[in-house]
Amino acid sequence: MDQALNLIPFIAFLSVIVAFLIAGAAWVQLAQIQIALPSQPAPGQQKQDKGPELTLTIIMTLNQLQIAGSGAALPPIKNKPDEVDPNNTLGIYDLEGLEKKLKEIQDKFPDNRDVIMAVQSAVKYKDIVSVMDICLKNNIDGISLAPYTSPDEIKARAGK
Amino acid sequence: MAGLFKHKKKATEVPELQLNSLVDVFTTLIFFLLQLFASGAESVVSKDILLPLSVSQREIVADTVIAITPDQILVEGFSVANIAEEVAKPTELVIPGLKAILTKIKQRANVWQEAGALEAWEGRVIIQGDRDINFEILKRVLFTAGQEGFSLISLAVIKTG
Repeated sequence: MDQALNLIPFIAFLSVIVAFLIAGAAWVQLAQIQIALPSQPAPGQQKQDKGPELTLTIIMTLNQLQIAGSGAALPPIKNKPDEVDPNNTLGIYDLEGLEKKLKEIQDKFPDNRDVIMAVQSAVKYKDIVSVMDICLKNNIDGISLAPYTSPDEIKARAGK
Repeated sequence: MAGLFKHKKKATEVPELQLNSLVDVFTTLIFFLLQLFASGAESVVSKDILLPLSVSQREIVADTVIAITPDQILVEGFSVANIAEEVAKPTELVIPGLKAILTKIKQRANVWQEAGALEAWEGRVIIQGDRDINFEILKRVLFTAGQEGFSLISLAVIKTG
């Protein structure tokens, strides 16, 4: 009557389940960044009449980042040299420089949660997300994406 | 010598294997894996797409998915446009193949609305873009989605924090 329970079939069963779950589990955790098109209010934001708006804008071109607001623009943040890939003549974005400037602006306008990102066509998606991350870290989650055409591109198109 | 012989006799006895702790380990592992399995159910990413990394913590919600691989645009897993062909048309912002399928999805949602669906159609779309695509193609996808009334747009990213 005092016979020990035979656990070996149970362990075999558990091993099969573990193997199945390891094969199907999502090891990479996904998240999302909500964005808006420029014509719409930014996600989660409701427009209120608070006087003149900041209209914070980050302009991303291939070789620099620039912060602008209503009626003013800060000096551009030029790309840093790429130490990993010397063939990359454009360099890499100075995200630390951008974060520092953005933090200064957010200290002065703590209620601002909106930004318009004006992006040149050739900019890589991963770089856009890196800049979005800097915005999210500074409590700016109302991100709108818009295309940016540089004056040189406009001239080139007009000349065609 | 006698002591030595006694010791050898003891060593030949086979101890009984204790399996209870092993069963405990397996059970814990199964709970952990079930949690991982459940959280990834709604977020299947095409193997051709390497999503960008982000600090965003906002949970992804299952909805209409537009996947942008380095070569193609896919909606719900079906190819709707070739990127090289689309980029070759510099003046056109609307992607016709994408527009056609989004129109169908919207029409399908409208039919459900008319039939009294419990949830209102909000025009949500998730964009799963490869990290190395250019903004040029993303801009056209956003424009086409916006034209079709898909205005709640989310970008899928890999959580880093």
